[in-house]
Amino acid sequence: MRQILFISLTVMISLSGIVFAVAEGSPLAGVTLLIALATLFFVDIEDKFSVPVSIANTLGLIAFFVAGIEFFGGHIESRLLAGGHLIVYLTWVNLIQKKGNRQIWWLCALSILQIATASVLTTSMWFGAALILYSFVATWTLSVFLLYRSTKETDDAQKSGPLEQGSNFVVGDAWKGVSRDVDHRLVNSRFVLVTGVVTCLSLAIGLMFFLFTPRVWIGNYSLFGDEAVAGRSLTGFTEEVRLGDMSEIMENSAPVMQVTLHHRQQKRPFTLKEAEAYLGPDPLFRGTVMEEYENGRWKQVHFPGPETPVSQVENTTIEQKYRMAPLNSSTLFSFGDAVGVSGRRAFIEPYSDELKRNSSNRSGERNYEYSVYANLGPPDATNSQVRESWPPYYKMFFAPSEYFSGSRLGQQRGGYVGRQLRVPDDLQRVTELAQSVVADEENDYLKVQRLLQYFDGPEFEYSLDLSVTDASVDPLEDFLFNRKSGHCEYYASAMAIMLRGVGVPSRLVSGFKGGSFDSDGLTFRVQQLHAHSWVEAFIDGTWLTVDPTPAAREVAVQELEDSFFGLSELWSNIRQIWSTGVRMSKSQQQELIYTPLQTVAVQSWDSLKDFAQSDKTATLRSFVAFLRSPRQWFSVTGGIVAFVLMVLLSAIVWCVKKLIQLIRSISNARSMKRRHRSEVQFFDRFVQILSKLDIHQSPSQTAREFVKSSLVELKQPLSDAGLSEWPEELVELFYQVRFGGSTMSPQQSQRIDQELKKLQDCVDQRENAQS
Amino acid sequence: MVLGLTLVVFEMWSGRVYNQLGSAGRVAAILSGTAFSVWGLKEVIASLFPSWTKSSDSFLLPVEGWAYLIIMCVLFIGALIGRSNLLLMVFASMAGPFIMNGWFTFTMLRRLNGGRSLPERVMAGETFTTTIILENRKSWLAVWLMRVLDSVTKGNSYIKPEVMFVRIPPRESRQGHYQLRLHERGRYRFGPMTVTTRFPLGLVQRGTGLDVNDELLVYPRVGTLTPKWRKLLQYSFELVTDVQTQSGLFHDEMSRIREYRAGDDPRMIHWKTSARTNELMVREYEESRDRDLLLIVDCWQPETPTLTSPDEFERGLCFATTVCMEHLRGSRESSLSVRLVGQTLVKWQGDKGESHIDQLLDAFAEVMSSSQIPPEAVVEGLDDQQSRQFRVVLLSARAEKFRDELNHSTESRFPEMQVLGMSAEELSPLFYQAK
Repeated sequence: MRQILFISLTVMISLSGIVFAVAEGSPLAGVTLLIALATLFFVDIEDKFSVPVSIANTLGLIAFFVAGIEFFGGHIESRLLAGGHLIVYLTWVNLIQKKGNRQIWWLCALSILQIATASVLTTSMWFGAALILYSFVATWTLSVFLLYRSTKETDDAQKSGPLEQGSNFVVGDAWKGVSRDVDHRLVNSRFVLVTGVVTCLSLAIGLMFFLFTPRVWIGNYSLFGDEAVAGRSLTGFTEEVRLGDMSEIMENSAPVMQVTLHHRQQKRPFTLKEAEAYLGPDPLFRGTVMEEYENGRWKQVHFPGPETPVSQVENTTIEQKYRMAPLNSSTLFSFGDAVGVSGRRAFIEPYSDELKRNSSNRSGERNYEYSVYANLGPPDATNSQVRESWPPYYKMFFAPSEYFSGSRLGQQRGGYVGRQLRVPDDLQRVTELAQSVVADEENDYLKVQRLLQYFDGPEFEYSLDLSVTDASVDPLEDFLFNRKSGHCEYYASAMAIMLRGVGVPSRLVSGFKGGSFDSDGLTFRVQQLHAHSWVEAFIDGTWLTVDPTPAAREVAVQELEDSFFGLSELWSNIRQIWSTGVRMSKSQQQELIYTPLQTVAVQSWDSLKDFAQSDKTATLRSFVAFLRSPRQWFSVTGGIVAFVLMVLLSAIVWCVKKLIQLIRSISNARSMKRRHRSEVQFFDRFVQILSKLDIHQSPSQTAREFVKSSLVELKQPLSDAGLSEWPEELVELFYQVRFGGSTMSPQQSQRIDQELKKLQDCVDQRENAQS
Repeated sequence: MVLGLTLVVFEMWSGRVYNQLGSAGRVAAILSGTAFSVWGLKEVIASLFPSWTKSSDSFLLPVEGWAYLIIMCVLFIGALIGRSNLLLMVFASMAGPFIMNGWFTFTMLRRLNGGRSLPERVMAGETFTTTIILENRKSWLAVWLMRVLDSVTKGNSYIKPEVMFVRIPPRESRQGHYQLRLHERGRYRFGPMTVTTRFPLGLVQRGTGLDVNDELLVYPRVGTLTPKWRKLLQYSFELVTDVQTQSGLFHDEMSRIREYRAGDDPRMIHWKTSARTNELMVREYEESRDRDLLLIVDCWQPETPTLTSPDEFERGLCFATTVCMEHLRGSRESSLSVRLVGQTLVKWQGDKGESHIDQLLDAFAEVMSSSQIPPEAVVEGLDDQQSRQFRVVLLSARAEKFRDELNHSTESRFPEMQVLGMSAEELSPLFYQAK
């Protein structure tokens, strides 16, 4: 029993350590596995070594000290990790001690805290599987622990002696007892089964909790608000993005928008060939522009200014029609040289040229539709310059000439542009690196090219892995100097900061790259997994698009696309469900859970009302029709009908069972009464007569014993009545009738009656004589 | 109750939840608030009118349960603050087992029957076994780790022995045993029993009471009489002239032939032996120990008892019980009569042998001392014939008084009565008790 407990505990602790280690991306917590295994053998089973309490306390203090150093020495993420490491250190300290109940409870608590900390460090699907596995292991361990404690207390008491309890006035000593199961084993197959069932039911209840707990986020004290204020939000849709957010989105195949292209003059849609030519192989859909970088986060900077007038759209030839999925964001997307936008409360931001919409209540909205107006092919020569010598991955981004004319707007834009040179003070290393890459090049275009070549080198690779090598430095520095591996956000961020470092104003743009045409060839679909970040560099008065992410990104996206279509539908659904669960917001919860339930409830209520008010015959006919059509069984109505039928059936079965029990109990009681009345009455009379002589049958005496013991005192009355040997005959007859099943003949009954009467008279006479 | 009502009123007045979560949220909020209110109202009624409710049910959150709950709350608040669905998932994975533990303990405690099997009477200081029977009347659910706590009370004192049932299948019963050793005589009440469980996780404990009551009589501890006791009884009974002819397999006529001494009764001369030895020889009869015994126990105690008075009284009762048991066990031809003069007068007349010993033991178990017993009441009702027929032993805490009366009175009806005190000095030479 003890060994089973310690092995279970070891497995649980090791599992939590491994989960934490994988989530953190560091092997530190994984050492728990080794320590747990070592202490299992040397401390728990073999009992060769253990640390005394004083040393354990000292080690605990050292753990706090070390964690404190980690806490105050790094960024926000490293503070969280410091807390996690403290939990790990304390786990080690408890492992090396001799384990009593207290240590085991501490280990269980630290184990769940490790899992909780790991949940903050990762959102991958493996964590879900690990959590389910951990639930099984933890439930098993706690159950075994309870079994061990309950029987251990009892067994120890039996070995050591009595346990006086309950009162200051000692009445005695008591020894506890244990009643074991039939096979005398504590951990048997039944125990395993019941623990498994408990865990499954617990997980089901936990799932209900997870689904129905309202997402009333209280971060940044905006209670009852659903807007993502900071941190983990979708790229391209918010005003602030944290490095690393992109990888979560790229595992999501949820649709973002559908785009259709139309010729305005000709009033017709693009053909597939025209659309492919216009969009190119991987079109960039521009979303949010972020200008300020600090501590791993990009933020927008708002510059007040007039919105771009929409009158210019009259001269455009192409209309891009967008239909966006509800994203609860103000950002709109556009492709290419967007000149204007039309849509409910849509506008173009000055300076950043972002497309946005004003919306006071975006929550609960369905799809949003808007149009972007652009020109076909190369831009109008009067508005911009075409540089045919640029490499193909450059795209010209067109800006109206008035922004550079020295007007008030132009000066402001110059101020705006000037801000795009700011590099945070703690990224000096990045600046130095950029300068070393660019060397003595003075041409801004060539600077861009050199940096692009630097990122295209063999030491850099594309990856969606978020592991951090050095949490004490800025994520950008960690990417550039340690990992050299990351996704588009890291590449774009590094490019933007490095360009700034060599004097080229740059900003980060988030949006989408790529997509696929529908089967009809007219609609271009963009999904979450197409999310992308790139850079816009301000060169010669123009914002140029610069995309430093290696081409491997396209391969990875294609693989993701294929994986969503190639895998079985079940696996794909699971991934989808996981992604939805991890990112569920209040509006999504309402849309996916509360609203459907409400709808079902309302429909059911309406159906019941209709049923109550309707013609019953017609209802019965429709019910029969429902039963005859299996297709309808697998529907909401079918579910409700099945539920109602099951409840009715259960109620009927329960009523029938109760009725049968009642009938049986009444019948048994009657037959017992009858039997008792007729067959033992004579013996009852005999006992009553003896009670007058103060002779009583004790509960532990059988009838035979009672009669035998009473013979001594009855000697005189019996001999007076001439019934000396009669009581023995009487008791034998009693046994034959009561237990032997034989019945008395009328003569026997009469004789017994007479003899009892004689005895009764004799006893009465004695009583009278005595009194 | 107040929290539930507040939630309902708040929602009805402000509609906040409706605005944020829709109709479903409003319904959920109102239902939750109503449920809390009803539950709270039930608890208030239960506390004000305990007779209306089944007060034997208990609920306890042990220390580890509180710790578990606190960790859950921390995770929940952390999830809401950090907007982390995964942390909420971890919270939910903790909430599920907690709810399951509570439901399991609640369900397992339903439809349980209990019983107890006790001996009718035991001796003080004797270890005996009590059997607890627990029946699971549920049709499909077995019960696990049921801790049955029995209650043994006497006056203000109590002890709570327990039995642990590891598993009881559905529609079956199991027996468990615990051992008990009660130090004092008297009537002990057993019950009610409390059944508690924490299965499966040990985070929540629930209990229910089983109204199973029994009584047990504990009679005084029987010791062992020393040879001095027999000698004490035989002291004045040499050369009994009242010869009783005895017959039967186990007659105990003791006689021997010795030389004639001056003062011997001439009728005791054994002429045959005298002729053979050419010397006068007499037959000497020893007092048969099978002479009927009348034991009178005076249960008087002073009004303001000293520290040792209760112990002396108990010692006296133990001695009396021992005397009775030894007499009944050893004497098959003589009878024993006992007169217990306490708060009530108990007369016990035993025939030859050990029949009806239980009544005597019961009387010893339950006799209560009194300070209002006049000395004459002790021997009241006894006649001279009994005095001659019985060997009379009087056991009393005021032995000196009785001895003085015997010594100074010339017309005592019981000149041969042995008077013994209850003190340790007097009784220790006559019997001893095992620790």
